[in-house]
Amino acid sequence: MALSPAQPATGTTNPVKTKKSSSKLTKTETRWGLLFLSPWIIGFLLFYVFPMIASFIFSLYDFNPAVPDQAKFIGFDNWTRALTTDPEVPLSFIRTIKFAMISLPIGLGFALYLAVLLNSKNVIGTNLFRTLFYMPSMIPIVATVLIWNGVLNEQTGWINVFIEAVTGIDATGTGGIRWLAEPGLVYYAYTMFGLWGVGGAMVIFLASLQGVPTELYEAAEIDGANWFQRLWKITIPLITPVIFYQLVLGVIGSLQYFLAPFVLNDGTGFPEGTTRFYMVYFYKQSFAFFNMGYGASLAWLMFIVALILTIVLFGTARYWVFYASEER
Amino acid sequence: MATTSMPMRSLAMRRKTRELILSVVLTGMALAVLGLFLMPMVYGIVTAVKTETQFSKTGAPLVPSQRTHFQLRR
Repeated sequence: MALSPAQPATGTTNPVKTKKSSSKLTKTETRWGLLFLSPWIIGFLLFYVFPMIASFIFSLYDFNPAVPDQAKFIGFDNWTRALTTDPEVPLSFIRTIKFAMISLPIGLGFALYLAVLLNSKNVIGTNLFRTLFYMPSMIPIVATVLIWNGVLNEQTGWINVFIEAVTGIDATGTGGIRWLAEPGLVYYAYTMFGLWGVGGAMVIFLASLQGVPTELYEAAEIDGANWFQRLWKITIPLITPVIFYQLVLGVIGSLQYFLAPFVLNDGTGFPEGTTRFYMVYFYKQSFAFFNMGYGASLAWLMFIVALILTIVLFGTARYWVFYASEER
Repeated sequence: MATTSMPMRSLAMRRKTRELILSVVLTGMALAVLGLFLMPMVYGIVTAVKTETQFSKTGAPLVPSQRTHFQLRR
């Protein structure tokens, strides 16, 4: 039966009823959505929000977990101590930033270099190379640190043996290169450990490189652009969102740097305190000296610093991060 | 026709040669970086089969080996 033009297409449907039923549908969908999300929401509340609130409350107490009954409310004394009287807080923070300034550009640069190299159609066996470069990322960090500790050993380490064999410099023995015992070299040594974990970043960079439209390269090639110009004017600008993402993760990760100095020196700061990073100091205060309240305030301070740095990075993003769909 | 096809063929040849050289250079570079990158892993494997003395001795060979003793007969 054909409907006459005067008749509404919906026939007898009442618009008010439709609205009602759609809102009922929305409610049902919302309920189901929340039900499916509930494991995550419960996990988030239990394992993130609640511990964060608890740690903030700890930071207001003089709290030793060995004698919890003697916990005493001291207001913001822990925060004042961390911000004004404890000289180790700014020192450890400066050490962390110094290390981040060395390791972050080297790590990101190396991951990008590998991605560009393994994205080239001229490299034979790219899939095998990608697998092999990713492989060390699967090794537990503690094992990585211990292996590198051996490789960088001043007496028997292969790096020193190799340097001595190639250059003839006395790199081993008593006058050898003390990678892990020389304050000027230790950050570079730790950066080398970190390079073993670039597999993840490399894969993400590779994915972004493969997303760059090939017609841009073809047009640039016709215009006479060389390889470097294509990299600098097309590839890098188009993958800036991924570089930005890696940078934010890298900054946060660097601020939380802990495992290598802890595994190697038990957090003593050897050599000359250069490896007593902020997180090492936080760990010592919280779990070695049992100043849990003070440790909580240190953790919160680091959280605030990381938040500020992330906001600053997001603020700078508008000047150097380009999104393909963005209108300027 | 013959005059135009010859330079075209030589151009294609030159391009192929250039690509081959580029392939060899880039793959060689990737191999060199991979060698350095995985060197600690080889160190780990080699160290795993060394005895403690072999491992800690300065100037010991890179691969596991036993010290050989010679006795002179009088």
